[in-house]
Amino acid sequence: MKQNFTVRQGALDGVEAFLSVARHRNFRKAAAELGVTPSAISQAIRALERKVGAALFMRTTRSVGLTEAGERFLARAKPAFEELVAAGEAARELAERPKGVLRLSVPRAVVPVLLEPLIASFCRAYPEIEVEIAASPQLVDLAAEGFDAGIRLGEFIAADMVAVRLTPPLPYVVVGSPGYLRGRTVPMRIDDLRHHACLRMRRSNGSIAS
Amino acid sequence: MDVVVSGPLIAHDFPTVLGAAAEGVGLAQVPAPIAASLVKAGKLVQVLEPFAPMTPGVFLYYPSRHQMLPKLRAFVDHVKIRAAVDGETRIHGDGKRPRSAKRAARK
Repeated sequence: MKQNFTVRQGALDGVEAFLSVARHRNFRKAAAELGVTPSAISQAIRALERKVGAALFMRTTRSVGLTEAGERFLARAKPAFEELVAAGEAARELAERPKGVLRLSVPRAVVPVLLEPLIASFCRAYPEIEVEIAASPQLVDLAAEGFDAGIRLGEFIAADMVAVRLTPPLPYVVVGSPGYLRGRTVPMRIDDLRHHACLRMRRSNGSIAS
Repeated sequence: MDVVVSGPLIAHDFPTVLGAAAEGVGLAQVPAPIAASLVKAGKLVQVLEPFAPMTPGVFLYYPSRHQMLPKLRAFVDHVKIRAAVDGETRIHGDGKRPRSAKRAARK
C-alpha cells in the first residue's frame, strides 16, 4: 500500500536554525551556537521561508523580529523539535548496554561449579561484558586489587559488604580415603580427631583451622 | 565444639586439602559440595557425620556504593534472576540441584 507522507522530505531542514535565531534574535549568535557561518544561517532561514510560504523574520539593520507567521511557527515548532530531540535521547539510553571488564575474585574450589550455572549464561546474556575470574585462596581487598565483586563462604565476608546468597547453608564434612581409614580406628567423637592426621587450612588472617 | 588437632600438612585452600585427603594423607574438613563427587566415586569416606557444623553458604559480595557500575548491576541482577529461577543457584559439586526446603518437606 502506498504511504501518504504528509511531512515532505527535508521538512525539518532549517528548523533548528529558525529556533536558534528566534531565541537569540540575532543571526550571528545563532551561527555561533550551531557552529556554522552567519551566511549559512541566512540561507537556511530563506529556504525554510520558501518552504513554509511565508516570511518568518522581519530583518531591519538593527534587529531581527518574528513576523506573525514566525510567532505561529515558533509556538508549535519549538515543543515539537524538543520532543524529537528527547525521543532520540530516550532511544539512545536504552541502546547503551553495560560493557567493560567485570573482575571477580573467586576461590578455586568454586570456579568449576560456578561456571556452568552463572558465568556461561551471563556471558550469553551480556556479550559486551568481559568476565575476568581470578581464583585466589585468600580473601582479597576488592577495591585495592581492582575487583568488582568476590565470591566466598558467608563467614569470611566483612559486615560492610553487600552479600547476595548463591547457595543454601552448607554442612562441612570430614572426609578421608578408604586407604587412610583402613587399619585405623574410625573417629566417632570430635575428640577422637586428636589421634588422626588432620589436614589443616591457613586462613587469610594467618590462623590455622582444622 | 573445638579440638586442637595436628597433622602433616597445612594448605591454603580447600581443593588442596581435599586432594591430599584423597591421596590418603589424612582427614580433611571441607564444605560438603566440594567433596561430593569424590565421596560418590568411593575415593573419600565421610566420618563424624552427626557432628557436621554448618557454613552460612556461598555468597557473592561487593562494596556498597551509592552508584553501582552498570556491569556489576547487570551481574547482580543476573545472579538474582538465576536464584529466583533455580530456587537457589546451583553451586554443587555433584551437579545436582540442591533441594529447596519446600521440595524437601513434600518428600
